[in-house]
Amino acid sequence: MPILYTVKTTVIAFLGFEMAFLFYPYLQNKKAAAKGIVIANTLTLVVYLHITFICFIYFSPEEITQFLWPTLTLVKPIQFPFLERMEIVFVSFYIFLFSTSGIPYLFFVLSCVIKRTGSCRTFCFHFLQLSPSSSDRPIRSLNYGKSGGGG
Amino acid sequence: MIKRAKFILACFWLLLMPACREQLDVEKTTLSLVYGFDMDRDNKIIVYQVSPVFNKDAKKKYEVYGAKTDTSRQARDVFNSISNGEIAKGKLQVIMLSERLLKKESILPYLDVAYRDPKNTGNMRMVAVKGSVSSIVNSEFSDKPALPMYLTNVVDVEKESNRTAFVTLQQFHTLAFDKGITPAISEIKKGKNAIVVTGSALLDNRGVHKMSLNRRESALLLMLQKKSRLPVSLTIRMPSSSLETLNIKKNRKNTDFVTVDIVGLSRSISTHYKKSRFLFDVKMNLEIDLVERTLDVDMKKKQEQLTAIITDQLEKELNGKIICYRDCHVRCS
Repeated sequence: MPILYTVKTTVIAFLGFEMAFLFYPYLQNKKAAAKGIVIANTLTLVVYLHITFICFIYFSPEEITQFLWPTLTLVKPIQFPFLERMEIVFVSFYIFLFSTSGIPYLFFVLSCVIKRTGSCRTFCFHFLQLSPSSSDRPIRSLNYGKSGGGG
Repeated sequence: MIKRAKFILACFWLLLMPACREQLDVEKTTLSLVYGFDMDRDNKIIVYQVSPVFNKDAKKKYEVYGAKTDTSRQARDVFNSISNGEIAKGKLQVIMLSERLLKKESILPYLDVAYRDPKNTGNMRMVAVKGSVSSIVNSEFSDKPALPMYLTNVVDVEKESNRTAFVTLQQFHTLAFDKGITPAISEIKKGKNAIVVTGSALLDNRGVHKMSLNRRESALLLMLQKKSRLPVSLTIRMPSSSLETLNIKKNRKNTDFVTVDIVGLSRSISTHYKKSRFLFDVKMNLEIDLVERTLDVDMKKKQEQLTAIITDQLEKELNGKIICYRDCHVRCS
């Protein structure tokens, strides 16, 4: 069935419920954990389905295969008299949304490190070395906007 | 608590710091506001760029440059080689396509980069030029504002008065890939002292020019598509022997006109399928205001008769146009 081909890409959005195992000691109402997982996954499902339906309604079937990012293309024509490209604002807020997928993992890594070593200072110092903002050529990485944009 | 708030504020300020390096002086940029595509005899495209000049010492307010290349992104290299400042991306307002290019080749391959580049806006106006693009781009209008602004304003004004099919880049993509609709874009030409909007150009799904509509036909097209901004103003010729009137203009026949403002428009389409062809029955309900009449008629008594005549004339006109389009294999939504 063709719809099963996309399970590989979308199952990643629904992972993360294993955080319930790690959150367990912090929970007060332990029995409601299962209900929480189901509600969270349902919310994810509703949001993605919503976006997919809007894309299908707006674009014709031949056209939607032409776009790399249909969601961004939906937002592209929106223009206000005071704000020329609303898609930039949209993407900036979108970053907050999808960074929430990585933050629980970071939180638990840090809590484990603190339990073992008492302070996360050395760990943070070494971890931040890996992030792009601390590279040897900091100016290059900050200028990605200028030279990019299709060549 | 206050210390933490100050720390958070300092973090936000740090986040904004990298943007200081991206400061762009307007004098140091080439804002390409208008792009023009033309085709020459060796089937190479000529790309024109019109950008305003902000230096007080320069005599002309805008600069024009043409590049003969194979693709539009290659042309940017050429423009970079002569530009005074960095070319600012994503500021295009108008894309002009010459008639020659439209008749010879499909334009979708050349526009592909415009769709692919995320820094482009989606609201560029698509305009077809009757004649060559250099006629518009190299012309000097002493009593008009700078060319990029003038072009944009001319197309916008006609969009407001419903005399041209206004299409942005994004909408053109939708129209081109839709099998049931013919794309229509605005059309301009160089007049004696000004740029004249001549109506719309109808293209087929690949972007090849099929036929041109004048301004009145564009208004009717927009009415049929329900894309017109109300009120739509139309002048209708009255057949001379229909109303018993005192013809004040004694010397000429057939000179009775009535101008109406269409204030309300509702449309219903019913589809049938006969002999392996679709049949569309389009019913439009128009609410009109009479704005001007050149014939003398008693409005109170003859109102219904006048309404019937106007309806008749409009119907004849629309039907005639639709038959003409059908013969050219043109479809409008």
